[in-house]
Order: sequence, then structure tokens, then C-alpha cells
Amino acid sequence: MTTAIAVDELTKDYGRRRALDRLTLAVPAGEVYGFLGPNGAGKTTTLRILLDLLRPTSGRATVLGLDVQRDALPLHRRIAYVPGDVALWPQLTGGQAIDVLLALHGRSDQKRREELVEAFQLDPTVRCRAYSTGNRQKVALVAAFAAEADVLILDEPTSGLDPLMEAVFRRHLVAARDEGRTVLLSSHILGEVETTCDRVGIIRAGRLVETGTLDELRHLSEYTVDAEVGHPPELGGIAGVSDLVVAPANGGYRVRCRVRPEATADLLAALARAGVRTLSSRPPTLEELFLRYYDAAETP
Amino acid sequence: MTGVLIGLIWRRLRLRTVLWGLGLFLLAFTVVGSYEALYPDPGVRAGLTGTLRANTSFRALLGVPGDLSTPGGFTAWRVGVTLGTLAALYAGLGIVALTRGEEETGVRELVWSGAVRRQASLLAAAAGTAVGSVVLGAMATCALLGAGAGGRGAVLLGAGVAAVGLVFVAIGALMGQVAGTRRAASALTGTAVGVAYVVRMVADTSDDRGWLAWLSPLGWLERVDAYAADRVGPLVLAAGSALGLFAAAYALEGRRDLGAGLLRPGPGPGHSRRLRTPEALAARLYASTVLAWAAGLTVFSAIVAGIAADVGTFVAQDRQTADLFARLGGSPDLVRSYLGGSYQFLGILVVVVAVEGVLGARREEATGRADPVLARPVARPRWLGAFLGAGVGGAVCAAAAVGIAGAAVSVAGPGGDPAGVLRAAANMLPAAVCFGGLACALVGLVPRVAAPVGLAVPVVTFLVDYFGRLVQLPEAVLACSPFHYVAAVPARPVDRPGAVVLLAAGIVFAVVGLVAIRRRDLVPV
Ligand SMILES: Nc1ncnc2c1ncn2[C@@H]1O[C@H](COP(=O)(O)OP(=O)(O)O)[C@@H](O)[C@H]1O
Ligand SMILES: [Mg+2]
Repeated sequence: MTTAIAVDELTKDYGRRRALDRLTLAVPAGEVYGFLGPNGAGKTTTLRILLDLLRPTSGRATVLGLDVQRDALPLHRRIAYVPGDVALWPQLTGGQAIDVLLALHGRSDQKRREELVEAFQLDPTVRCRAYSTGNRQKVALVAAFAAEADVLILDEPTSGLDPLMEAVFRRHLVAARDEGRTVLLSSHILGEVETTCDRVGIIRAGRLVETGTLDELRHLSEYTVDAEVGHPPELGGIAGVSDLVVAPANGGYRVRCRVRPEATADLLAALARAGVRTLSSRPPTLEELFLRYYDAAETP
Repeated sequence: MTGVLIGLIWRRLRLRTVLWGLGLFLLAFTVVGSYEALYPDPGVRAGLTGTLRANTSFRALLGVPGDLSTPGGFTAWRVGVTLGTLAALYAGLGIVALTRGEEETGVRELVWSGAVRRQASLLAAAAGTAVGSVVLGAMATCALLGAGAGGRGAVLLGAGVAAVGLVFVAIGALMGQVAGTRRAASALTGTAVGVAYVVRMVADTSDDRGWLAWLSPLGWLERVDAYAADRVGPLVLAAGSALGLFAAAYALEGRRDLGAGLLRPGPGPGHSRRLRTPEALAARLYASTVLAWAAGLTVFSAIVAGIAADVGTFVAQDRQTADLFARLGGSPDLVRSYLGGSYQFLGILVVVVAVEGVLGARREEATGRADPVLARPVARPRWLGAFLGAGVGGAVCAAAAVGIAGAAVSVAGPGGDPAGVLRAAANMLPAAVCFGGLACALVGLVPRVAAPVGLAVPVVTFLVDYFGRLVQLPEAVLACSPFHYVAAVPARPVDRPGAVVLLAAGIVFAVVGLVAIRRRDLVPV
């Protein structure tokens, strides 16, 4: 597995405020990497450093083996970027803006441009000043997908799109991955992350707090267990069991709790001693997973 | 809530208002002061009104003189229309920026959805610019009083200037309803100021169409006739018109959609084959602005050249004025001195065209439009260089407009100096390169203050040089201004060493900027 994007001990200060704190992360080539984290965690800062729009205070980053600062020009020929806040020239039409961006990029696919304009249902004859946020994002997305690039860097590209357009976006994202492109996708939309990302990294206060495939993250996290038992179980002493609720039901007791993977054996033994009748367990939903990581931001 | 809005508006307006007010003050103050020096002889003063009234060119440029036998009366004639025009631009463009500008940045959406009347924003902006207009008028009055030209006339002239401002507050508000964008609304408002100017010019130069002046807000200011007839009627007319026009804008504001105007833009081209490089993009973004400047400068230059011969004949009759002209132009040939002084004034506008073009880069950066460009294989120096090119190219176009219009009129009229006018136009370019380069350096080194500083430095150093020579500041002070090294062509030959130094400085500044832009972050406002 080769690494397409390597970020090494990246620190970025805005005056006295530290936005990135020795951030290290690696995106394998040919994968879609979901870059997640609460607002203000440093996602946009990281992506803008990769594009050489911001200069790191210390540390370095490479994309496709090229230094993002020193080799910016040759690198930019191989990257397509969608900024988080798409601003366009008010006096140009959307079609003109797309053509400007493609021409500046160099290599592009005209046929694909037309297909994308069609697929995203964008009216290219409207002036950019009249576009909504979503339409401006579409312009940037068309210009990114129609460019011949090995790496796509997308900063919350669907925050203004409707569900239908979001589906179009996902289709093109998966197609890009299937063509062997690497994608770094900052996103808040869990469905999008779940259906498109091979791997996610979670950033909080400028540091990477977790990274792995979604399955790996789930396995690191607590499962929810529901059981019915004959008499009150003794679960208080088991480390790794939390949010315990026990209530009388159907002549016995209903038990609900969360359990960390390493405590599962102890929990099952205790439930067995309490005369377990039914048992079900489920992995955390994505939402629960992220809330856990995001929430911890408040209490570091 | 409306109080909060007015507070916000005033925060955005106050610096601008102070600067404009100071400009008006200086303009009026220097003219009052120069009167005593120019016309010490009571006999000359008494005859002045008659002589100047007979001169069509002066009537076209400055209006019909009322009573030129006092410093106040002379000032009211000499700068009245100019003060009014400045107040009109301040007020009209100011309210458009505050209303349409706010609507384009999305601030208005928050306000309209808040618990205020829909027109609260418009009212607050109008209140702010109206107060600003009154401040400008008061500054003119203070200048006259301060220079000793007291009395009713000073108050009436100030009131007249403020009244023109009020009318254009209303016109700007109305244009903001007609057009759907800030650019278009600004252009319409600027055109309205131009029309008001031309209408009064036609009225003032003909004997039987004088009534036309009643159709122009600037004409109303003239009809106040401060220090002579001292009429109040035109002020009432102005105030009434301002209220009426504003009521129309107010009514429309309550009916229309957010972001909409009465004029709706049609669809544009869905493709672009020409915008393939950063240079083409920068040129496209700046083209319409350059076109507007060039149009204005064409008219300006044609007027300057067109009245040259008349000015020469008139000034020749009067030794003191001739001295003044010689001081400004630096040549005993009066027509050429006049042309030299006037084209220096147009020169600063050409410099502004260059600087504004370069500052376009900063606007692109601050709005985030530079991000998608610089994320593509476009080197930062090339990107900034494209705007430098647009600015300098724009200045060349503007200077060409000045030269061609002035030369064409000179060829047509008697006693013209077309070659001299062309040289005067070309002579503007070294300073344009110098300050364009300076703006480039500022964008590279200190992006956050590049726009205000980049514009203020040339304007202030120009004023120091231009008015410094009038009031005869010490040579050591004058030598600090780069414009000291721009000769008043065609009164004097082109200052070749000076031009070379300005060009070289511009190039050095530009290189500094192009290197510095590599080293920094892109920063928002
Ligand atoms: N230009 C800037 N100046 C000062 N602080 C900034 C600037 N841009 C971002 N920040 C701060 O840096 C932190 C990270 O911001 P950002 O990278 O935009 O986060 P995210 O994209 O994850 O929401 C935030 O605390 C933000 O306030
Ligand atoms: Mg962000």
C-alpha cells in the first residue's frame, strides 16, 4: 500500500491561536479518506496547507511524493480541489467559471464537463452572483471532476447540495476512486462518509485522535447490549460496562448497557449467572461513534 | 434594532466621511486664501464678475459667476459646482455601497429576517449618508468662515452642498432599487451625477436655455447664488425632491425580493474559450471598470483641451492669475501652463486606475476567489503579475483616452497643442507604474492594509505637490512627493530623469511584491 498524502508533524499557528498541533496523517493511494472532526478542528487549515494556500508553522506534507510547498506547481497539475467556501466571479457565468478553472488546470475532459453539467443539473448561463451556495459548489465540483487529476481534495463539498445532487456526487466520487484516484474528503454528512469512505481520520483541536476503517473504529468502540434476565445481575464491578439501566419486566428484569469489546466476556458471564433469557447486541451507529469523538472535544 | 443598524452604518462611514470632509475643506480653504493674493487690487475685483461672465469656457466649467468682488463670492463660483459634484459622488456611491453592497455580501438577509421593518436597512443607510452630506456641507462652511469669508453666504453655500448630497442619497437609494447589483447601481448613480453636471453646463453656457439648470441638482446649488442673491428657494426644492425620490425608493424596497432589482439580467454565455490564462481572467475582471474610467477621462480631457484657448485669452488680461498659472504650470505660455496644470490633475486619476487594477488581486484574495485559481498550477507571482498587468494596462488605456480625446479637440479648435496633449498623456504613465508597483509590494507584504494605503499614498502625495505649489510650501517638503518629479507637460518638457526614477522605483516595488507574495499565507479580510 503506497501513501498518496503524507502529513508529518504539521503545526499551524494563526497568531497566538494554534489551529494544527503536530498533526500526522497518511492517506493510502487509491482510497477515499474521510476527514472528520467538529467545527474549528483544523480540517480546512490542513487542506489549504496541502494546496500551498497556507504555509505551515512547522512540519511538512507531501502529496504523491511531492513536497506541497517546493513542488507546488507540478503537484497542482495532479490535484483537483473544491474549497469549503466556494467564491466565484460575480460577473462571469457558471459555464465561464468552469472553463476558466479547467483552462488554468491544464488537462481536462470536455466531454466529461458536459456530462457533469448535465448530471448536476447546473444552468451554465446564469451569472455566478445569482447562484446559491449549492450551485456554486456544483461549479467547483464540475471543474474538479472534469479535470484530469490523480488526487481530489474536497472540503465539505456537499454542504449545500440537495439529497438528489448528493447522490450524483457520491456516484462520481466512487467512479473517481474506481479509476484509481485518491480522495481526501472533509465531510459532516455521515451517510456520505459511510457509503463512500474506505477509511476515516478524526481530528480534534488540531490533532488526529483516531484513524482506521469504519469497521476498525466500530470495533474499538462500545456495543449496546439488551438482555432479559431472571434476577438482578451484578454488573457494577465490571470495568468497561457503562450506562447501565435495569428495570423489572415480564416477571424478570430488562437490562441495557454499553460494553467495551474487552469487557464483553465478563458481561456475558455475569448475565449468564443472572439467568439470561434473551440477548441482543449491536455495534454503535456512526452517529454514536462520532458523537463520542466529537463530544470529547469539550472535555479533553 | 434600527439604532443598532445606524450604529453599524456609521462605523463604516465615519472614516470615509472625515476624509471627504477634509478634502472639501482644503479645497474651499485654499481658494478663499488665494483670492487676496490673486486680486489685491479693488479695481480688478470690481471688474472681475463682468469679465468672467463673458467667458463661455469658464461658465461651462464652473458656472455663471454671481459676485466675484469678495473672497466668498469668488470661492462660491470657483469651487461651488466642484464641491457639489463631490458631495453627490460621496452620497450616491456611499448609499449604494451600504445598501446593494450589503445585500450582495448577505448581511441584508440577516437583517430582513430579523424583527425589523424591511426598510430599516435602507433608512439607516440613508440616515448615515445624509448626516455625512451635512458634515461635508458644514466643512465647506467652516472653511469659508475660517478663512474669513463669513456671513450668510458661507452657510448657504454649505447648505447647498449638503442639499446636493441629500438629493443624491435619494437617487442612489432609487438606483439601488432599479439595478440588481452593486456595480450596476453604482454605474447608474455615477451616470446621474454626470447628467446633472452636463445639464447645468448646457444651461450655463447658453443665453436662452438657462432654465435647464432647474432640472439639475447641481443647478439648484448654483441658483442659491451664495454671496450674491443668497436664495433659499432652491434649497427647499432640493429637500423636497430628495424626500420625494426617497419615498419612491422606500416604497419599492418594501415590494421587491431580496437581491432583486427592477432590471433583470438575462442569461450569459455557457462557455468561455478566451479566458484561458490568469492574465486573460484579470483583464476580463477589470475591463468594465477601465472602460468607465476611460469614458469619464475622455469627457474630462475634451473639456480641458476645448477651453484652453479661452482660458489663455482671459488669463492674459490679469497679471496675478497669470502668476498663479505660471506657478502651477511653470511656463510663461499661459495656455500651456493651464494645460500642464490640468493634465497633472488628470494624471492622478490615471494613477488611481493603475492602483485599483493591482488591488484587484487583494479583492480576489479577501473574497476567497483566489483559492480555486492558486490551487491550480498557477504560480503566485504570475497570478499577482496578472493583476499588475491589468492595472498598468488599464492605466495605458486611460492615458490613451486622455491623449486621443484631448488631441482630437485640440486639432479641431484654434490655438490647440495636440502634440503637447499627447505628451502630457504619456507623461502620466511613469507615476502610474510607480504606484502600481507600490500597490503590488503592499499586496505582497501587508495584504490587510494594502487597499487603503495603496490608494492613500498617491492621493496624499499628489495633493501635497499640487496644492503645495499653490501655497508655496518649502522646496524640501515638495521634494518628498513623487509627483514633484512629474513635469507639468506641455508647459514644461518631460522630466526624463524623474520619469526614469519613477519607472525604476515601480519595477523595484513590483519585484518586491512578486517575491513577497510567495512567502505568505492567503489571508481573508
Ligand atoms: N485566517 C484565520 N485566522 C485566525 N484563525 C483562524 C483562521 N482560519 C481558521 N482559524 C482558526 O483555526 C481553527 C481551525 O479552523 P478550520 O481549519 O477552519 O477548522 P474546520 O475546517 O475543521 O472547521 C479554528 O479555531 C479557527 O477559528
Ligand atoms: Mg472547514
